[in-house]
Amino acid sequence: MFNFITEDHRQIADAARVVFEDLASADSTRRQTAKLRIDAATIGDALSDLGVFTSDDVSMSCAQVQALIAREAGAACLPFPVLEALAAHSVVVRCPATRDASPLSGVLTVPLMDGEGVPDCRLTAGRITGGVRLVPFAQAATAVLIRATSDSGDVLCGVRLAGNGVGLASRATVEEDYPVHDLRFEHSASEFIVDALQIGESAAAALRRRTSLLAAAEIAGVCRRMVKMTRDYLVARTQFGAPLGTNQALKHALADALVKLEAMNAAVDYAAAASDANATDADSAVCAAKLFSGRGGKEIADSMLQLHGAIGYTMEFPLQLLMRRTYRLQVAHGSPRVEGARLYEAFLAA
Amino acid sequence: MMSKSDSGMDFLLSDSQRAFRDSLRQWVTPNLPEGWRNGRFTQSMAEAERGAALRAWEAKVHAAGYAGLHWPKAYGGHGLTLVEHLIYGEETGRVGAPEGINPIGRELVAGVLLHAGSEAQKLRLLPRIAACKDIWCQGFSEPNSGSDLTSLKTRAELTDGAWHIHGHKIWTSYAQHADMCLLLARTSVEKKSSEGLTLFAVPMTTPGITRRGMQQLDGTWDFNEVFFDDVIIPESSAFGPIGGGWAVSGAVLAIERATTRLYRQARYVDELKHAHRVARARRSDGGLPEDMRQRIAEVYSELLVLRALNVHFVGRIVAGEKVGSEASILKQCWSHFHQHATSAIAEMLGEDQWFPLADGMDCQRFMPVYFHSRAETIFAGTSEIQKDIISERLLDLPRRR
Repeated sequence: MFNFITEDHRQIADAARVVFEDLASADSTRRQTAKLRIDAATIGDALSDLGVFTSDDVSMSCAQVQALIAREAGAACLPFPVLEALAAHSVVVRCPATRDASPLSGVLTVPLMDGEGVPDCRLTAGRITGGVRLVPFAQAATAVLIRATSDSGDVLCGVRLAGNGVGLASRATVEEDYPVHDLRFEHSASEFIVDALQIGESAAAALRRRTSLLAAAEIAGVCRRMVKMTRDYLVARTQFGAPLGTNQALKHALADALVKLEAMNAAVDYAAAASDANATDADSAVCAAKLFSGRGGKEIADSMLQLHGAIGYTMEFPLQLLMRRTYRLQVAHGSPRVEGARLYEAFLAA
Repeated sequence: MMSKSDSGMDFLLSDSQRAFRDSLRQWVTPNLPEGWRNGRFTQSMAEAERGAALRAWEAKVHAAGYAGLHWPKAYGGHGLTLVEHLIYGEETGRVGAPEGINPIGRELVAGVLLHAGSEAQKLRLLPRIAACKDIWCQGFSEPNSGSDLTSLKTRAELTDGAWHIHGHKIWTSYAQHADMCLLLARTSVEKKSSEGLTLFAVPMTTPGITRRGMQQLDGTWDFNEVFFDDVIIPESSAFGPIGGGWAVSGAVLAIERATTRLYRQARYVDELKHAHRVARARRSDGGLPEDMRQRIAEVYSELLVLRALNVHFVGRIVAGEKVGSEASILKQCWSHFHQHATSAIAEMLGEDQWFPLADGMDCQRFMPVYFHSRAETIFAGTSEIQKDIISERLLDLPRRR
C-alpha cells in the first residue's frame, strides 16, 4: 500500500526511457551533422507507438504513468510539446462526452499559461472569439485545448488550428526549437467541449493540475540529465593534474544538486499518486511539487553551467538546451507566483 | 469508507492504519503534560524537573501502547511497521507534543540493537527503552574527533574478562539524565583508523564516570562532556563484533539520518502555523503582505516535499530495502528545509521572535526553535560531511582526503 509505484509503472517508464533515449540519440546526431533538430512528426509517431495516446486503456493516461513519461521526456529534452499533449489527452479521455468519439486525430496542444483568472475567450453558438497567449507548437499541432466562458460556465474547448480563422503571432522564446505563438480566434469553430469529467471534477481544473504536475516531472527529468552530464564532465576533465571532481567545492555543488533532484523526484511521485487517488491533499501536493521543482530546477541549471565553465556557455554544447527548458518550465503551467498563491490558500485551510 | 483527514497521506493508509491514527489523535491532546502548550512548558522549571516531566511523558506514551511501535513484540514492541511510527510522528508533531527525553535510546540505540545486538541484549535492553526506564546518551564525538570521528582516542582494553575504559567524550546530548551510554571506543590500534573501534553499552552509574553540562544556544543544558577514568564494565557489554564498531556505527548513522527526523515534518508545519497565527493576530486587518505570503508558500512547499521524501523512504524501508548513503539526502533536506522555515518565521515575527512577550501567544517557543534549527546542520554529521558522502558514494566522484 505504501509503495505506490508498481511493477507496471516501472515497465512503462523503462519502455518510455528506451524510446526517448533513441529519439535523443537521433536528435543529437542530427544536431551534429545537419545543425538541425529531429522533426516533430517523428517524435509524435514514436509517442503514439508507445501507446501514450490510446483511448482503450485509461490507465495509460493516469497521473503516475504520465509523470513517468514526462520525466523521460525531460531527460531527452526534445522539440515536441510532450507534456501538453499528454495533459490534453488525459482530460479528453476522461470526459464522457469526448472519450469514445475520438474528437481529432493528431497532436493536441495547450497554452503554457492558461490556468488562472477569467478566460479571454468566449464560446457562443459553437464558435470561439478571443485570444490565448503562448501556445507551443501551434503550427505542428492539430488543435489547441483552451478555456472559454460560456452560458453554462467555463469550459475547455478543442479548436482546430488550420483553416479555422485562427491567427498566429510568433513570440520570441528562450527555447529556440520550442516555438510558441499567441493566438486570436475569430468565430473559430469549437470542435468539441470537455466539461465535467467522470469523477465530477472540472475539466479546466483537472487540466491545470495535470500540466502543473507534468511540468514538475519534466523539470525533474531535465535535472537528472544535467546532473549526470555534469558528473561525467567532472570525472573526465582534468585540471591541476587531477580530475575536476576531486575538488571539494565542485563536489559539494554537485551534491547539492542531487539533493534537490531527489527531493523533486519524491515530490512528483507523491503528487502523482495523490492525484490518481483523488486524495484531499492532491492539489497542495501538486502545487508544492511544481513550486519546488521550478525553483530547484533553475538553481540546478545555473549551478551546472557554473561547474562546466566556458564549454557550458556555448550553443553547440547541449547543456544550454536543458537549461533553457528549466527556465521555461519554471514559469509555464503554474509560475512560482501562481503556485505560491494557491499553496498559501492550501496552507490556510490545512 | 475513507475517514476525514487533514493530514495528507491518507490515501496510502490501510483501514487499520487509519483506525490507529484516529485513536492516537483522540488520545494525544488530552494527555499532554501539565502546562504544555504550543510545543513548550509554559511554566518555568528547573532542569531536573523538566527531565522528570519528560520522562513521565515517555512512560505515559508507553503505557498507552505507543512506544516501540515497529519493534518486534518479543522486545517490548508492537510488531507494527515504520508506517505506524511515521503516523505517530505526524500526530504528535501536528499538535506540538513533547519529543521526549530519550530519542537516543528510541531511535539510535534501538536501531543498533535490532541491527547488531545479541538476543540477550535485545531482550534485556529494548523493553527498558520502550518503557523509558533507561535513558540513553551517545558517546561518539571527542574534543579532537568531531567530523573526523574515526580518529577518536577513547580506549577500551579487555583485562581479566572486563573492559577498562579511559577517555573523554563531548557533545553528549542528554548525558545529564542518562542511565546508559552508547559508547564508541578504540579496542585496538590498526593501520586504518576506522578499524579497531567497538560499540559498548555503559551504565552511567559505573564508578569513574564524570559528567559536566554545557548550556546550548537554545538555552537547554543537553550538551555534556563525559569523562571515563578507568571505567570497568563486563565483557558482555560490547555491541556487535569487536573491532567492527565503525561498520555498525555507519549503519546507525544511516538510521539516524534516514529515520530520526523523519517524524518531525508535521512539527515543523505546526511551528509555521503557530507563527502565522501570531503574525496575523498582530495586524489590524489580520492579513499578511503578498511577499510574506509567498515566503510562507515557499517554505511550506519544502515541508510538503519533505513529507513526500519521508513517504518515499518509509515506503522503501517497509518494502525491505536497505537505505544507506541515500539517507544523507533526507538529512540535508530536513535540516535545511527546517532552517529555511525558521528563518521565514523569524522574518515574519520580527519583534515577537527576538523579544517575545509573555502574553499567551507562546512566542517564547520560537527563539529556541530557531537556535535548534541551526544545530541541525551540525549534528548527526555536518552538512559538509553529508555532501562528501553524497558526492563520493552516490555520485561516485573521486575521493581525495
